[in-house]
Amino acid sequence: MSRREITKKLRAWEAERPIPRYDTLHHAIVSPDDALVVTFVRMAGESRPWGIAWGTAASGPRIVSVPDGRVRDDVSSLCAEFAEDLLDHLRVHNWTYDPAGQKEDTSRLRQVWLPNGAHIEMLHQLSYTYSQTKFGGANQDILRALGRVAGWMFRETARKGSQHVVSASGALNDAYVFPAQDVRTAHLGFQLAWLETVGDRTHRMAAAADAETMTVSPTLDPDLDRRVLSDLVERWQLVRRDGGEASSTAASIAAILEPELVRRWELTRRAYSLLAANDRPVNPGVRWLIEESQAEFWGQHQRIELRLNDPSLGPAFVAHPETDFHGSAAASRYLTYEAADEAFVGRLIHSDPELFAEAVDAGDAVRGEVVRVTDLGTGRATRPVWVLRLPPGVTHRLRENVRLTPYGSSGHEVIVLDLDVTEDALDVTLEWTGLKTRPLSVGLGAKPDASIWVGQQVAFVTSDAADLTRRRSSRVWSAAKGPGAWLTHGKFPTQIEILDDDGRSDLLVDDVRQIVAGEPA
Amino acid sequence: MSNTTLDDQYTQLSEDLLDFLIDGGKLAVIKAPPGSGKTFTLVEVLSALAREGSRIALGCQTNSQVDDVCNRLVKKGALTVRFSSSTYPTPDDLDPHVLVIRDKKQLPAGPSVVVGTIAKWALTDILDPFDLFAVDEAWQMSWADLMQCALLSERFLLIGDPGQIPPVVTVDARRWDTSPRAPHLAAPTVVVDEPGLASVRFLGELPACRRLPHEAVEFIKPFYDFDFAAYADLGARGIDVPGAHRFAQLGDGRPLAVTLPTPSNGPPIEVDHELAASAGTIVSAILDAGAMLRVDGKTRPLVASDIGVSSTHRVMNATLASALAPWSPALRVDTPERWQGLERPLMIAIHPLSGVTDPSAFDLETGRLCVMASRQQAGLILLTRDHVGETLANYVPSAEQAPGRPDVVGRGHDAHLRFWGALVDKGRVRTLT
Repeated sequence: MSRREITKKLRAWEAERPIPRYDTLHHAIVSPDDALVVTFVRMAGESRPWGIAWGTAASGPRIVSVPDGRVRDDVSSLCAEFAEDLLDHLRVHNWTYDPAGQKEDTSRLRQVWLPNGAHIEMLHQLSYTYSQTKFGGANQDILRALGRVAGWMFRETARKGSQHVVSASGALNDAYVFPAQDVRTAHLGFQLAWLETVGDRTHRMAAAADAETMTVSPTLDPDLDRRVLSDLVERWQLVRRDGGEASSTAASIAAILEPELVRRWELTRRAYSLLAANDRPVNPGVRWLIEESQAEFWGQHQRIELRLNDPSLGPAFVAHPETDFHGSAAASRYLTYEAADEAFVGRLIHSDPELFAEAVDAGDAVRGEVVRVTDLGTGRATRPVWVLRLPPGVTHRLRENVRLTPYGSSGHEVIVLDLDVTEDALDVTLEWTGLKTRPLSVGLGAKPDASIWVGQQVAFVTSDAADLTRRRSSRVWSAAKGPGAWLTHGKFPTQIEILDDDGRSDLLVDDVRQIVAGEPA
Repeated sequence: MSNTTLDDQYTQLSEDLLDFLIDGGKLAVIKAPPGSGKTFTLVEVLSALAREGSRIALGCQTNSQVDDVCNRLVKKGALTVRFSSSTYPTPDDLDPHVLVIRDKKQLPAGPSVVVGTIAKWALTDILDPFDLFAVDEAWQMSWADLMQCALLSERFLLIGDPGQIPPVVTVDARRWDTSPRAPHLAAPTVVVDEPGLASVRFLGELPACRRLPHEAVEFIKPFYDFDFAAYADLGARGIDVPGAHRFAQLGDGRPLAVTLPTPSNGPPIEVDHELAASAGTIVSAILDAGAMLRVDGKTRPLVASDIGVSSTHRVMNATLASALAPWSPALRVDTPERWQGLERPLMIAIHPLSGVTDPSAFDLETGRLCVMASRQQAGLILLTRDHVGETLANYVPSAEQAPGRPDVVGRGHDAHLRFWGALVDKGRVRTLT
């Protein structure tokens, strides 16, 4: 934990309540109709859902469960029912009258809110179970579609700045600093009790401690699972095996699962509502993050769905739930994630003073006095060069050739030509390279070559190279035709064979076999 | 092992490598211990290949490394071309015989060595592939980066130090933990680990560490999976501090760990002001005592510019820089990432675990400690809180790696333990008095 983080926690403790982490929200907040809240419960030791609650923040939840989460066909039906609404909500091609297009307005973003990372991992399980399922009968198509979209959603949550899938707990942690240990603030009930309880610190702490006793994860309280439900499930199985009427037992199980699902759903909806009603604005840079997310949805999911339906549109492959076995697929996605990570702070920092202060602390931003302005251009060419004086001992990541952007004036750019360390100061020579003839949108608002900048304090933040990284991510595919591809893009070793509980090997067709051999998923 | 034998081994390796490449070998990987003459060997081999008529692309990690290699290559008589981006200003100390080009259309068609950064090569489309693509400091290059360079050549030479800091991973890369060729791993690691390439691969190791004092080499071996010797003679290097000085032990060339008591409530996090002040005390004590630098038979007074200081945290480095301001800018303070490839006669390093009592996988990654413990030509002082031995002894690594992946955390813990254990065993840990 950094010193800054500790200081913030102490401030929150002093304030007797969670305090805002930043000056803006770093995540899109869509309208209640566009926020689908989804929660799961599962049997202990099982990966498949036992029950699902889903519904938009405006409509309230729909609760569906099965008597025994181990019965594959029942769970498939449950998931198919859920899939209809999820695929429609996300506007997935073939499952809606209004599929998302390649160019979408940012106002048309649809989000899925889940309580926390454990529920997001359920998406991974759905991906494993259904993306290439050979079962499901009449539901096979929709189950496969569910598996594919769940896989995309799960992978997307690892991309910095993604906007479609929201961990409520993560979003609250990003928005607030809690006066508590980090491990406890992963509990959505604990967080909401701190935020919503009226009263002083003692009241809030007591409410949070109470809330913490109620599990939010998809796995139920072991006591409830073992003491109450396991007997009922066993009874249901026995009656069913004997051909008897098991509906009353099934109803008893559903009656126990329903409040568990509703509680998790309500917590998540409350987190959504709290952030939607927040008095802090959403950072203007989030608009760009939405555009990126929409482009990712199109490129990594929607376009593939279209091609799977109509191969004449181009090649498509279904990503393996475990990893990218194909080298180009792996490297390309990795670089895309890198680009998103590089761009994230750069998009938000210019509108968030607290984020800027954090960057200064970490050495990712600097503030100094302009002590010299010269123009090294010849003829009509302009080549403004500044010397920026920083205090000695300042934390920084500056080195020659690093690119910086003036804080608050995105688009302008300088390159560090030289660093001169003296006992009293650090003099940084900067050459303007981006928008060098345009006035800055901060400070004096003058052009970079104006001598009136001398004596002014100006701050700079590290520029990102996300555009270049994105180019590199597509280049790994095009490089496959190079002479060195025998090594870099050569035949890969066979994927690791995965055995399921019954000793059967993994039935999924990996991306290598799809891309190289054209084998369908 | 005598230096004559080591010289013979260097010569043999270079000749074998040259023969392999001239005979059309497509993939060579050379592991190099720190300060082993890696760039020297690379320059020798590439200039010889250019003389034989080869057209070579060489990738380096940074612009300053590109400039350095260009200056060395041009002295060997090879047609040396610096392939720069349009904004990179040509440094004043670049040899005027180095041809600087910024447009790929100007790339030479004949025998030559064209040097650029990895970033530059990764985005360059060329029509006429090179005979060889060589990579310096290759263990800093990710597999994803190497993939982008497939357009450059059919043949590859990767040379680097496997003990150094691996490619920086800033994203959640768990998705690719079990990928057959994980894009975030160091390119040579992927190549060396793949059995299918064994039949086409030349795998060599440089035989000796030339930078470190003979007595210090044994200490860094836990960071490597291959053996190497010391090139410096026994007793040839050290920092001689007169009389019964408290740092007189530096005279024998071995590293010295200097500890401060760990506060009862744990060590300071990120910034340890007391440790920074102690660094100032140590520098002052050594310089004021008139310490002499002894390297291979030559002795001269130690000066501030002979000293380098390193800490893993930037904020700590800023505090260290303030504490050491009287010797600035001659004395350099920087992170281990920036110290890679550099050296100083005397290094003072803040042990990466000094402020950590519950180490994470990141803390136990050995690259940073290895870099910090292998920059010195004559003396190394590791400055730390005194809990490190106990912290390492109490730590129980849990194998959290993905199936089929090496236990990096366990290995890192073991290397840390062996490094610290050797310091203790040799009586090289003492409190600051």
